[in-house]
Amino acid sequence: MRASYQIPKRNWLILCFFSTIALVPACNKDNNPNPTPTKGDLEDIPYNPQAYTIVKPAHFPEIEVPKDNPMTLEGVQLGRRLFYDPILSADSSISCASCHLPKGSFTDNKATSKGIDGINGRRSAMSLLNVAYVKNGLFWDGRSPSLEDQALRPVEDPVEMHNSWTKVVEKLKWNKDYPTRFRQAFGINDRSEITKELAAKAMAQFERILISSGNSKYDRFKFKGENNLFDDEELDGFIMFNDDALNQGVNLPDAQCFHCHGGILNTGNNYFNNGLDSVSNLDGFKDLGRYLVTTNNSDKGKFRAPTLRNIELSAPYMHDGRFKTLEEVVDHYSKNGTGVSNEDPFIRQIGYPIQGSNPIKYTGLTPHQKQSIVKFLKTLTDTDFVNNPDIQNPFN
Amino acid sequence: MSLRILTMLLCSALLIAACKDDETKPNGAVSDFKLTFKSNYNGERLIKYHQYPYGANAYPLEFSRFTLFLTDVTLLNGTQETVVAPSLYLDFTPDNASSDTSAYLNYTFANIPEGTYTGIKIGYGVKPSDNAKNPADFPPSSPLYNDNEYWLGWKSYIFCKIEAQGDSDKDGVYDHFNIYHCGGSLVYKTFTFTQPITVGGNAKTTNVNFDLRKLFIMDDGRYYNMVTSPSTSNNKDSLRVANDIMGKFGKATTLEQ
Ligand code: HEC
Ligand code: HEC
Repeated sequence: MRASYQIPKRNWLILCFFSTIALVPACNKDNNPNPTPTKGDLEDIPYNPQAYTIVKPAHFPEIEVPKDNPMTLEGVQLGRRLFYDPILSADSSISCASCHLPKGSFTDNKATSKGIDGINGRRSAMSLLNVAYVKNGLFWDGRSPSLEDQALRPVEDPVEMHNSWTKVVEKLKWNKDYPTRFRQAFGINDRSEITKELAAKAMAQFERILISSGNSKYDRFKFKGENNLFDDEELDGFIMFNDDALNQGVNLPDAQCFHCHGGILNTGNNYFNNGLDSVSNLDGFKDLGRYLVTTNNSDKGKFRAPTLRNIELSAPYMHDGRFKTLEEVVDHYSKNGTGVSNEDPFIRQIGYPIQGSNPIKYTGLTPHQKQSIVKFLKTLTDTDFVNNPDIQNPFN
Repeated sequence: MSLRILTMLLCSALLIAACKDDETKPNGAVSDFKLTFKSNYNGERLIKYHQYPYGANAYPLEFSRFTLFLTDVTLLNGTQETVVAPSLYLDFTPDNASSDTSAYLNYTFANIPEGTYTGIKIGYGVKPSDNAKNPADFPPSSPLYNDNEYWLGWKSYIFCKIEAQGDSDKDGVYDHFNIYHCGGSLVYKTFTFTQPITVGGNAKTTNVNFDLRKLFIMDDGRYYNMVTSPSTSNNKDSLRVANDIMGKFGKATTLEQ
């Protein structure tokens, strides 16, 4: 059962109390529009957080929740509002959801995204589907260790929300709605206790509920026993994706995809050079990727292999959005890389081994095989997830 | 039964139990037991992308990945067994390393009976009873939770991953790319090593070294042909290659304390 998102009914007295407080800053003619909050001004609002159980498909692994940020209904609701609220950006024009929209599986479907100043970032927004499971560092290069840490970053990023947390927290403190919600979620006693860390915790709680429905065609076929659901091409694609031809006794080449996009989540969240760029040496990468975090030479040009769940909905593809379609992506893989020294060995072994070649070279994939892989990738589409009412914009 | 016989029986039972105990825990005390796993190439600490001379013509070979699952790492004392680690996942080339030097992986196991043991037994891979399950059956704290190390196609964990590339004709261009991902309960191996290991007192850390070179030296002393058997990927040879590699861990492992 999913918990419902009804806004709790507040009692009238409290409402009146808050409207008065909300009026105070307006009347204040001082340069500093926000007076010091009264100590304990939220204490009369009940604090009874309800534990929130994340809904996940039975065949999905357990979700780890940090001990210092337990899931509560109130926390998730607050996080959801913050996520969709442009109050976080300097000119109140963009929210997290401007770049992470449900219909794009929480991407913006742009190669790179514009922040409030109209400047394009250098990377493509990432899907937030199943982000609760990412344990190996967030972002394409893994520079953020947790959702709680990550959520602090866009606000001050000059090419994203270009704001300062001091200003955001000030706005939240004097907002008519948020102080109550912070109280209900975290038990703070007065509005001065609202911090960026609590805001980030709430957003992280919301992000942890962005979990697959488990109803994609793939899930039904693979995990729910609907064995006849795939047509021939989808089945071929599935077999090539998983290098399973030998076990299945069919004549199809290996596409090697599952090595990096395998498992129930269709990613191991590890870092690879998947052969995108032909550079003469490792310093030639335009974006050094994982190296920016580890400063380890052989990590230059490596990026995290993201989940392929809902990949049909999150075009364009790769860290810089260079491929517009899944066909272009599979064309890329079929070329067997560019030969850069830290390219992953799987990238060079897609297709059949060419008999007699020594050392062994690989054929890549035929147009029909590529088409089958694309068709298989589309079975990962999870419309129940993107349409889930619990994760939509609460202000609509 | 007379009371005397019963008493005698009881006493001897107690004695047996006491004798058995004596071997490992004379005082019943327990201590931390420290293990460090190391990966080497020809006795030297393994370095990713470092060029090692390989084959009869000593051509350059580089490794880029080495991971290994172990099961039931067990201290032995005669026939008595103390399992110190039911399951371990060793990643010598982790994604978060700040250099290409392979990681030393340190473990401390608490509450291990003190004493001097005669050896250690190690399962290489994931034992069949665990391998029959899948990652969703394990809690996040278990090494077997990691679904990236599981292959649905085989219904098996990937016991060991070794990836490498080499320039067999020495023309400055890599010409073979190796992916040895070994899995499947058929290639699970157990090896026992005789080595006095002390637990308690000021006992030092026990090092377990895996030498990758020894994994690729065949019984006749020649190098494994990485050009003609480049991978375990979907070819009819894959089980044989996986079995060859897993079977060599006995020779490739050394212990010291
Ligand atoms: C201007 C567009 C933009 C806005 C606004 C934005 N993001 Fe992002 N988001 C991105 C981009 C681009 C990336 C990838 C950046 C990188 O890898 O360097 C990203 C990555 C992420 C990731 C990492 C996902 C993963 O799998 O590693 C999370 C989580 C995330 N954003 C959450 C948020 C939250 C929460 C907010 C609001 C506080 C937000 N984003 C606001 C564009 C945006
Ligand atoms: C060696 C590991 C590896 C293999 C094998 C691999 N990928 Fe990838 N994949 C990656 C990495 C790493 C990225 C991200 C690269 C980047 O953005 O620079 C990626 C990105 C993608 C993306 C874009 C994801 C997004 O959100 O933009 C798609 C789609 C994709 N891969 C599909 C496939 C398919 C299909 C196959 C098999 C034909 C495959 N991959 C094989 C590592 C791999």
